Amino acid sequence: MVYKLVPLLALLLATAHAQEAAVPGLPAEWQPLATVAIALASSLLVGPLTAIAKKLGRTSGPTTVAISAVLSLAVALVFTGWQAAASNTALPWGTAVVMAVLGFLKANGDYISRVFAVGKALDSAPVPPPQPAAPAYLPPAVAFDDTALGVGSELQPPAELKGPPPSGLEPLPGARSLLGAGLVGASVAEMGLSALISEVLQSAGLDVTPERLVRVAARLAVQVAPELLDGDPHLSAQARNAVLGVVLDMKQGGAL
Amino acid sequence: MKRLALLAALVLSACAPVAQLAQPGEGATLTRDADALLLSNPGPGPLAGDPTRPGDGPALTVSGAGLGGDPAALTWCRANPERTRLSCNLPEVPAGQRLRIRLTGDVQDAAVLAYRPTTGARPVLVWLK
Repeated sequence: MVYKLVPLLALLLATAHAQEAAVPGLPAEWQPLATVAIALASSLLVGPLTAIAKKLGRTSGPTTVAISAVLSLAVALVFTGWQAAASNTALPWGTAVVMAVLGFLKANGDYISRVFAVGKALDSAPVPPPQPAAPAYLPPAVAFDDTALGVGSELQPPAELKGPPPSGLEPLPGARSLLGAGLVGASVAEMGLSALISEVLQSAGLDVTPERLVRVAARLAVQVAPELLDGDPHLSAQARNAVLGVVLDMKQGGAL
Repeated sequence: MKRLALLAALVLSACAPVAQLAQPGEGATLTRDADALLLSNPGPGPLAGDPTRPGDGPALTVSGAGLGGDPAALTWCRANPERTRLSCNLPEVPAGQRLRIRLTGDVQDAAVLAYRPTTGARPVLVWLK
């Protein structure tokens, strides 16, 4: 939400550094606006550059944000350095830093707003028709359900009586691997972080109140939100553990 | 306060579609079996993690007391210092198989958050039954 304040912040910061000429030859009263305009323009470069760096370096989370920050600074330095060279003046460090901060906020804020927009877009997306539970020629009794899982200890194969099996993969008793295979179409529904949090809260039997959402989002902002900065809505196992951890805390009535 | 109201409005507008996002026909279950948790995947497709991250699998979070696991489980899971929480990055569970996670201690609650390649970025959420 910080990015909503970018224009305001931009003017404040730019005014504070107005004594340093961002663009030589421009009247003094236009310098803050020039700084803001250049900063916002440089943010257009920071977003794509961060995505490329992430793709090449396979970075995630805070690393990506750090790269984004470094790129913001680099882009700002190139802009101001070029201006300084063009007008034969010393490099205006203050202006460069202001531009870097604004470019960083704009690029990251834009990303977060895109994530929200994706969540919003789901609203109008058509709901896929319910999938058939089983092919018609199979009697309902053999359709996959919990009782067919054999999860009760009395249903375990005799081999397990010799000793409990270690952690690991096992064939699913009663599973018919053809059942359901390919039944779900590849409908790629993308969802934002807040949509994911809401769903997890709901499934935990908790009402989705704005207060809860904000509290969960605040707890997760540092660990999870940076992962979404690259435009890929998938979260790492670590981030998904963080989401579950917060909701488990909430479910148990623990303080957030 | 104004900022908080703005934040709440944004968050709310972004999560409006969630009512329609109940998982249709999700068959995966997380159940107890003596001292183990069983993550059963009837399909379709494997239960996996983020496809863009190598080595990423279904995320299992367990809450309880004095939590631990057998050697295989401990390669997947990390406990917090108080041992009240296990955070696990499980191996992929192919369709028609189940994953046994043998744990020690008192398991109170657990949940899995994973992805299915067939449903893209839409996560699969399974609570302990």
